[in-house]
This record gives sequence, C-alpha cells and structure tokens, in this order.
Amino acid sequence: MSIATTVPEHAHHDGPYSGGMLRWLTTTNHKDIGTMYMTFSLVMFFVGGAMILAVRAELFQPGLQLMQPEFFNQLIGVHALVMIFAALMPAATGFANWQIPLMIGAPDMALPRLNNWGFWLLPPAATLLVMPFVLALFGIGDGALATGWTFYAPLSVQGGLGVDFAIFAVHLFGVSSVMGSINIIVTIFNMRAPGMSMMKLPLFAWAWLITAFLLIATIPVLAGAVTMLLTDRHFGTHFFNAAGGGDPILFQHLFWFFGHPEVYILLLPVWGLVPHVLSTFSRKPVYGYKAQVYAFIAIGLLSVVVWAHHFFTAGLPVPALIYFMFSTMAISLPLAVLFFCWIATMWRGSMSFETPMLFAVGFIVLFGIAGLTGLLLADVAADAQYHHSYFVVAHFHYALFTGGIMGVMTGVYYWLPKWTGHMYSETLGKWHFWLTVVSFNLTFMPQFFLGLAGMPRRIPDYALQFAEFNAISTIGAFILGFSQLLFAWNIWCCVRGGEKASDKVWEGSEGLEWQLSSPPPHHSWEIQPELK
Amino acid sequence: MSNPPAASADAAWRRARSNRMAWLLGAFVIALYITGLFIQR
Repeated sequence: MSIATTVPEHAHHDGPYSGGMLRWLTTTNHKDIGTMYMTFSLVMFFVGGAMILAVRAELFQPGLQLMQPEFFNQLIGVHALVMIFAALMPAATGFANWQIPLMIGAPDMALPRLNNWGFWLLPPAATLLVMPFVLALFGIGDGALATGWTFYAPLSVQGGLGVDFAIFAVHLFGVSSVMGSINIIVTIFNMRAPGMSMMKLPLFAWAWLITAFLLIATIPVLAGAVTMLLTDRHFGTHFFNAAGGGDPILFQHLFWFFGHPEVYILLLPVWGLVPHVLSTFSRKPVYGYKAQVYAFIAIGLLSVVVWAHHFFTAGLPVPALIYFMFSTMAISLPLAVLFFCWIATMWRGSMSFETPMLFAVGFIVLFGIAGLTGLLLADVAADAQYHHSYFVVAHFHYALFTGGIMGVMTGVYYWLPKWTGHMYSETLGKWHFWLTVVSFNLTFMPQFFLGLAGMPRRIPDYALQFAEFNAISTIGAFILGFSQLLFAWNIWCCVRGGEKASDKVWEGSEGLEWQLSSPPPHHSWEIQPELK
Repeated sequence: MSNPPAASADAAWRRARSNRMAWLLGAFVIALYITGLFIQR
C-alpha cells in the first residue's frame, strides 16, 4: 500500500524536554512510555530466562542434582508467568506505544495519563510475582506458586502463600493490560490522520486492534476466575472444591477461556509487524492486505471458541470433544492465509537479508513447525498420547518463542534505528540470529521426541532412557540464553551511539513513521499529516 | 470511514469521543468481571 502524504515542515524539528527520574515517573509521552515498556520487557526476559536455565541445569541428567522438586515446580510456574505477562505482553505494548501513533499520524495515544498508569502497574506486579522467593529466604511462606502458570484447582486452592501473591500479581497485570488495550482501541478509532480510512490502517495497527479487543474480552474472565480462587482459599466459598459441591473443571474452563486467546494476544502483534518487515526487505507492497485483515479478524473470533482443546483428557462429553477439535483445526485456515500472504509478499521480490529480515524469515519457518504440531495436538485421539508430555512443551515454545519472541526481535531490529537515530551492528545482529535459531532448535527439537517417547512435563527427575536428549536440550538452552546477551549488548550500543540512521532507514520502507526524522521529535505529528 | 481534517476544535472532539469510548469499554470490562464472579456450575 503506497500512501501519498503532505508532511508538515515542523515534523522534523525536535523540542527540548526535561531529564531525570521524574521524567520517567510522570511522563505521558508515548515514546517514553514505549521505551519503558520495552526496557521492562527486556529485563524480565532475562529474569524469566535465568529461572528456566536453573530448571534446565537440573534436567541435564537424571536424578536430583541442584534443587528440591517443590522449588523446581515454583521456577517453572513463575518462568511462564514472567515470560507471558512481564516479558512478551509488555514488549507488544511497547511496540504499540512507540509505533501506533507514528504509523497512524497521531500526536500521541488518546489517553496519555492512563498510559502512564498502565505501565507503572507492571513493576509492582512483577515484584509480587517473584517476592515469595525472597520471603522464603527469610523463612516467610514456602516460596512462589508451585502450580504451574495455570493455577489449576484443587492444587491452587491448597497451595501456599505464593498462590496469593501470584493471584494479586495477575490482577495487576490484567488491569494494566486492560488499560493499555482501551487506550489502543480508542487511539486507533479516534486519532487517525485525516484520510486514513480503516482499510488504509497499517497491518500492525489492525493486528493490535484485534489483540486489544481480545484482551478486554478475556482478561476479566481470568480476573474473575482467580478472584474466585482467592475466595475459595480464604473466604469459605467452594467454586472449585468438589467436596463443597464445586467443580475443579470449571476452573479449567474459565482459565482457558482466557488462556487460549492469550496465545493469540501474544502472537497477533507480531503477525502484524512481520508483513511490514517482509515488504520492506522484499521491496514490494504487502501482498493481500485485505486478506490479512480478514484473517486477523477470523483468528480473533475463532480464538475465543476453542479453549477446551487444552484439557481434552479431563473427561469432556464426546460432542464437546468433537466440536473443540474441529473448531481448533479451523484456525489453521486463516493462519494458512497469513502464511500464503507472507510468502507471496517475498515472491519475486528484490530481497535482501538484513537482521530484521533474517528474523522474519526464521519466524515464518519455525512458526510453521508450531502450526503443524498444533494440528497434531488438536486431534482428540492423538492428544491422549501427547497431553502433558514434552511434546506440548516443545510445541508451545515453537509457538511462543519463534512466533512471539523472535517476532519481537524482528520488530526491535527493524524499528531500533528509527527510535534511536543510530544503526545497530549488523554483524552482531547476524551472530545473534544464527546462534538463536541453531540453539533454539537444539533446545526444543529433542523435546518433541522426548514427548513422543513418553516423558511427562513438569518433573525434576526422569527415567534413564531420556538422558541423552535432555542433555542436548540443556546445552542448547544455555547457548540460547547466553546468546541473548548479544541482543542486549547490540541494543545498548545502538542507544549509546553508532552510525547515524537516515530518516527512511531502509531502502524499501513505506509508511508514515519513516517520514519523520530518526529519532523522531519528542512531539511528533502535532499537526497531523493528510493522506491523499 | 475517514476522519475530518485536523484542527483544534477537531482535537477537542477527538478527545471527548476518546473519553466516552474509554469509559464505555471500561464499563464493559467491569460488567464482564462481575458476571464472571457469579458463574456457578
């Protein structure tokens, strides 16, 4: 989509702004808040990563080496919650904050103070999540939640102090997400530049619009479920307690009504930004703009009606099993449309493989594996074998690491020169890409086979026949973890200085954000551009 | 759907519309949360 615009002259001018901590605490500027989201996300990515490296170290060989099973369980649950709520979701919101106003020609988000508040709920939420580990060191409580991130009842009803902390943390994360989502929806509906109809909206903004609607439809259900869990734990209710007439399976329904759309909440923003990258480095317009928009909408709608495929083995009635199997498989249709459009965007393009493009192509290939193994898991009969095995662990890491985190890296490398005004090191970027891809596959490909061979997930010790593949997986995990330091170092160097980036940055980039200076002025699009 | 040209009256109109829409969405979220609390088997 090419857009002819009239850009106001002052859009290239920068204005003075105050520095210091107070700026970051009180800022209502979308770029500052976007930067804070991205920084927070990166820090928590390393926190969550460190936790899982401890887990993988324990799994390096059979037997208990480093930790007790209770602590092992706690690390797994908090790793997942940190990665989902404190690393991936804030990264996506950071992109939204930085990019949506720039891309739609708006001076800022529609509700800037709500924006600030939404961000500053995150540090207390993350603190609540990891606090039980610290308290346990002082003899208070028995550590963090040991239920896995799913809080399944009745284990979570009986669990220790860590469950309460996690419940409050999830509430705070949820409130923050809802605030961010409301802000994004009203910004996209009300702040677009004159002439930017909904069908000229950048795909990234479209994807985020669907994500935001998913969030406001599902976060309240999660909040309701964990509030009920809290009252079961402390106020004598029996929502999930079979002994009191409650139903533990009800918790699974409520949790996964949120939990499945959550997968798409994590992935959709990435699916929205990847087409921009593919188009830029193929030097061709996005293929199938409308098809992609309709696919986003279809995926959003389908994602809220498929939740029970996460617990096929819980004893659901057969008609329900059949319905959830087919509805789940139906998601592969709009997803296939997206894959087709992404490949067709590159088809016969004048392609070049700078780091963002490498990550985008890597994302397509590896995320394809997640999609195909997802189809296997959607099959009720086959799922009886796969359920609760390492096959599932491998599948959702192919989905969330390649579909989520590698997508975030795609976006960071793509827009970082625009945000900072400097080019990152292409050499370091390429090293980061290849180390990430090779070590990721080294970590998770063996886990498919471990799962097929019957190794259950969430166990600190395992039978001897699983030893070799677990050792390979652990070696891969450590290379994967430490190679992310290259990413952090590259960002740090790029923020501090480096080769000056041009306004357009990439030869093939199209869209409003590239018409601003690099870095953009602190206040951009005060006079909105007009799209002809 | 296309927006009218930007002007200061236009900015005020956008702000008012944004606030109204935000309150509406917030009310929807709270209603959904409260409904969730009353879910029984």
